[in-house]
Amino acid sequence: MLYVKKELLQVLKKEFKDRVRELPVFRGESTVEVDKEILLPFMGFLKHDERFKMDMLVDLTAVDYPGRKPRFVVVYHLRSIPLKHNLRVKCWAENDEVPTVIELWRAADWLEREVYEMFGVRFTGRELRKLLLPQKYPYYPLRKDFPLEGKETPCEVWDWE
Amino acid sequence: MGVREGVFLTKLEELINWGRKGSLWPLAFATACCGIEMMAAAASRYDFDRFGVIFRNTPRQCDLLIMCGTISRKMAPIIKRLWEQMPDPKWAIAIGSCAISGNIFQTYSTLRGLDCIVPVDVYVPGCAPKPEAFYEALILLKKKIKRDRPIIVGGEEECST
Repeated sequence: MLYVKKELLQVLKKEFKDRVRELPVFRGESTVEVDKEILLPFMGFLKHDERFKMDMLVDLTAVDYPGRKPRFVVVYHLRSIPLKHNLRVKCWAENDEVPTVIELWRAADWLEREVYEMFGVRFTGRELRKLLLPQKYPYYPLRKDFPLEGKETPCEVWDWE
Repeated sequence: MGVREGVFLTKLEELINWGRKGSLWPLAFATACCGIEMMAAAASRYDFDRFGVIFRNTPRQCDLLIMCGTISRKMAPIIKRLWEQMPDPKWAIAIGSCAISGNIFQTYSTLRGLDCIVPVDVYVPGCAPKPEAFYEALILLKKKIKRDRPIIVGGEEECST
């Protein structure tokens, strides 16, 4: 898989100054970290700019760092089908909130709902419902402090609404 | 007992049990990969039909629940409802480790065995059991039905073990 080249990362740095930071390249996979305030213009730039054309949201997930503040980092995996390159974007979720990218990629709809039900990261500017878990389920199962067996067996909670 | 001029003498209980064990109609229902083995057991090589086992597509025509596979907590209320929709007398077979105990899936979202929601008559271990194991289960269940006492004057229907 081809990731965006060094020159293109320099373009991003020139465009957004120090609000975009380059993270170490791992096995040829380049990653940038972006401030939450400019996430939407940054993603819009990636999607519409002629040099990037990131027209596909491959995956949207989150990572839990217990004890850190902010605790969750939301990870976007982007791909450009015409230019055949990828980029990974990370954004720290301050106050567990991140603006939604549903206006840019419709694929974000279910992915954001899944991140919400599994981590409790709220995506602002959209309707948030849990994807697979019951709406009344009180825990976020993919957080590091959640025991694998579950905290209890609330059978009535699993009933269909 | 003997046959003479079209007359056959037996006990009514034995006749009822003979009829019940000769026409076990299971529900065509599976939740995971053990269902593939059930299909193999039902197909022409192993041929369930010669035991009088004919799959039905509605629980209202069934008297046997062959529970194949992992039961998620979200699916559990549905299985319970299917079981309640089946007319008496009815029996349940738990196929595979997942339906017995949840197997390796000791998680917040998996039910620890079918017997949490439905009384089980025969347990079949394996991951997944071979079609032969399905036949072992059927023969065991038939033996159990044969011991049953459907008619007891002045008493409740006894469920023998």
